[in-house]
Amino acid sequence: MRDIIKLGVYLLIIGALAGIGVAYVNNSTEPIITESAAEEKIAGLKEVYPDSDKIEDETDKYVNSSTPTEIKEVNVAYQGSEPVGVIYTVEPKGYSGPISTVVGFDIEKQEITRIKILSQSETPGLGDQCQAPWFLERFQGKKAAQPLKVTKKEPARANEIVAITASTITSEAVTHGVNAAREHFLEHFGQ
Amino acid sequence: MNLVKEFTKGILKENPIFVMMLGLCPVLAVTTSVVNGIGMGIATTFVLLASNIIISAIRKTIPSSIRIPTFIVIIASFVTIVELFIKAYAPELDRSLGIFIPLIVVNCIILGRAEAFASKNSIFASIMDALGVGVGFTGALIVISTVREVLGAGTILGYPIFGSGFQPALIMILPPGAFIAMGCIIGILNKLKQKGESRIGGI
Repeated sequence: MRDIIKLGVYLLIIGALAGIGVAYVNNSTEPIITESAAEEKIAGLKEVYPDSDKIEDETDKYVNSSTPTEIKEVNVAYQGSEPVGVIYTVEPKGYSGPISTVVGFDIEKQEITRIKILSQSETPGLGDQCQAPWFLERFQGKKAAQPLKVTKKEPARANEIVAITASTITSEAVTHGVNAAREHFLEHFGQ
Repeated sequence: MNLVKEFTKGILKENPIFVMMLGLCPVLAVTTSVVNGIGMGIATTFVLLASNIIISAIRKTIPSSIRIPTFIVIIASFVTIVELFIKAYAPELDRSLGIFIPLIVVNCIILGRAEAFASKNSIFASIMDALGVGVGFTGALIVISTVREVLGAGTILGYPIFGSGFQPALIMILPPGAFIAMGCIIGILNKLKQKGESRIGGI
């Protein structure tokens, strides 16, 4: 009995000291982590829609229970008081987890400006190539009016996206997410 | 006690990966690129060093019946600290290593060194031991990831080294490629070792 208490107290002390150490490091790194995450988010939004004076989070206005669950955030880019672009954050389900994607639309041209992957957990060396510029560029300038389709061959039509070799599921997932944003865009910002 | 020997033994003679075959899980998983290999190696070396120091410092107070949970608590704390630092200062690396950073906790190299070395030796010897094993581990990761990145992606540290005509062997950055690369490297090392031994025997 005495032994159990002794061992328990020893572990308690070790655990408490470890807890204090981890808590201290957590305290000092947490602001840096949140700050870099927030900075990265704004930079990511600017990257997919560069020409704007300010970007406002209008998720509450546009996302409700009837919108597809893939759509996580809707940010509207303004020039003066005129809305010029819409930036969606979508999270389609990929091969091994959600693929957080940002999609920018131009209201005047009714087309995709750019897309960017914020985070993903796809197969290293295969699906994680969905972050590579050469794949993301395939979405650039696609018209919002037509649904995008994944193809494994040379694209024959303007609305076709060539899949990443050996990563069709990832390519389909990203395209699915972009399509969800595209439909929402057509419905609310279509001309 | 020969401190230099404590350091060098972990690099070649008792290399954690190529000779002792410890901690292979992260080795196989993260060696798809050299950057990942280096990042993983440094993170593991830090945890190894810090936990070896602490465990060696308190080795006389640890009751032997609960030494394993004590080691694990200490190791897990340092892994969490490393994870937080990587998240804060190298978010890119955090994204590419992902789950394998928290999994350093269960890397048997670290628990193995705590149990076999740090809990029985002085702080200074434990530091040399941790550094040696850490360097050996990082070196092995770099060797494997270099082979895989060069053959599987045609790049080294992200820079292309072949002309555009090079068709990378995709299989090398897939899980089977990890086994193939490691098997071949261990085979070559064993062959070299045999040669060395027979020569010494001949004298």
